[in-house]
Amino acid sequence: MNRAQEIYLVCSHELRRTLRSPKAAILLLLYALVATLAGLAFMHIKGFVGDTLDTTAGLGLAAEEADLYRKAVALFFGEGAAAHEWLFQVSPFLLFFYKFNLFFLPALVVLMGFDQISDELQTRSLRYLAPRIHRESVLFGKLLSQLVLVVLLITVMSLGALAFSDGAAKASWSVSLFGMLRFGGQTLLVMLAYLGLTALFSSLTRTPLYALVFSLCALIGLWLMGTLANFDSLTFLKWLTPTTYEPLLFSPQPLRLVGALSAYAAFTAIFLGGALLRLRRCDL
Amino acid sequence: MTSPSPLALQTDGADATWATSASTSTPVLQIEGLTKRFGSLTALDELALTLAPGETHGFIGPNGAGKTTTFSLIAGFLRPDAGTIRITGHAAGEVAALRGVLGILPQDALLPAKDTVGSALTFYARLQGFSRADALAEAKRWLEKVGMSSSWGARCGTLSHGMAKRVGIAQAFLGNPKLVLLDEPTAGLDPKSAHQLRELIREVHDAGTTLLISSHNLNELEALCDSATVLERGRVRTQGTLTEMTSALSQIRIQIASDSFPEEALRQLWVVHEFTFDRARRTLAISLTAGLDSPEAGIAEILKFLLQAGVPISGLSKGQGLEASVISLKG
Repeated sequence: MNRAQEIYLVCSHELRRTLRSPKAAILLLLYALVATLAGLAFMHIKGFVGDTLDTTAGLGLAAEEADLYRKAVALFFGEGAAAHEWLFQVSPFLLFFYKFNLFFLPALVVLMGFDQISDELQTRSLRYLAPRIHRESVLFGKLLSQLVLVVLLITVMSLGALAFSDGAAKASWSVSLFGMLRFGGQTLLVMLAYLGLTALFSSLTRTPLYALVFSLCALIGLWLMGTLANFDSLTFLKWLTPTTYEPLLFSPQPLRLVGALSAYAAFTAIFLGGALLRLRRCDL
Repeated sequence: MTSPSPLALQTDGADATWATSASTSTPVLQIEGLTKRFGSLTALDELALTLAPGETHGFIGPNGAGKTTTFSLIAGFLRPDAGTIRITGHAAGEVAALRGVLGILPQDALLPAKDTVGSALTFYARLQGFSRADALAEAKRWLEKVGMSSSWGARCGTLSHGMAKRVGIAQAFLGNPKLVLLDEPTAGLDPKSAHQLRELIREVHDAGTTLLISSHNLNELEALCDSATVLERGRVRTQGTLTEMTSALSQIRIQIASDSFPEEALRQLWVVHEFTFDRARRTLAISLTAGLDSPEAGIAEILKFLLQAGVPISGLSKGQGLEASVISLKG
């Protein structure tokens, strides 16, 4: 049996275990809550800006209103967004759904995976696995199962959002579909870093509760770093926070886009590398 | 339980290098100079041990002696500070090479609470390389052997301690591994279950599996094992076959029909390690000198001496169990 098979077996077992447990239902509920919040935010903003948002930017908006809308989108998606004409044609609901996902999904990822390793360390049930498969296969198998769950959640809810946005906007299906795929892919990329972070804190402690607290503290810490980076003397901190790179994913400059992709790959690698190192060296 | 042991008895052998008999087969387990420290505490100090195929070896010692540490090192749960462990020629921790070769019942590991017994065992069998159908059959086979078939669909978290222990034993035997480590296998089991488990261990032993068993129940180890290691504070106190261990320091009890006997002359006999005399019962408890080639010859020597001294002998009982041997060691 090679490592890929080991990872597959752990992943499929973990998925079955999660889907049979109340945890999956709770997660779906939480995610639905996030989606509802996104919907409410959309409705609120729609009411504030006006019905003009229901029409696409390039199709009949007055120049002044279109300019206002572009500024609003640029505010949320970075200056690079201006280069993407499709972004202004996508339903505003999808745009806000994407932003809400980026805000709430990290917490959801933490809630989903904080006990993936720490619980096995606490109960020592890892001792039943260790003589049979490599420790890293346990880590990657569990991570993959979390990733599959995230993909499923994003897919199901994005399809729902797409269906809803079609009624709320006049954007073409192809543009909306492209937007959904791009947003989904980007969300997944960002979530990989947070999955890695969760795996790291889950490996660092033998108590699931501590893993949860530390992971949430880390999320808050990253957010704080992003805020502190607004001070001139602490600007460098912004490069240490994953949120900094989110707008760069829309950058028209290939170098910046590659930089953002590399940053998320680096965050994921660092977090997972730490988890792997810890799991390899720790006494079971 | 008569398989030949490669061990030769060594007492207080913590710093000794280990002599093995001329066994032609590759050892299933070979440990040399194994040392593990936790901070300033040396949990295991220069342990050496070699187990031949099919041998059942007991680990004896008080709490904190290093038994579980040894098991954890062999299983790869801990990393040694010094020394080597080879299992069928492979280093401990070589997962790919040892998959299906090593089975273990950890002492304090809980089964995954949310899994059903059936899914957990099938999963472990799958990880050992069984196909889905074979894993299912193997899991059912061993669950039946430990008398837990009716608990197939029960969640592991709902099992009693004894039931969980039996499921743990089933997972250790999945796939008939060459070496099985059983850490306190009957602790917490009711007498009937413990008896059934001992029968199962005998069955596995007879099938040629090498077993390493840790237990505080010395009578149990005496019934199951070919050889044993006595650990104390991480050091080997004594190690050898059970026959050697129980006879080397074995006792004979001689009942005499007299209140006196030539005590000093008896003490001078080379086959006598030490003795006590219970005057009320007129019973001599004599410990034989360690390392006698033939304990029986030693007994004959003592009887001859007493008869020649005119001491009337009214009864004789020979030997002591492993428990008495270990207690005399600790004393």
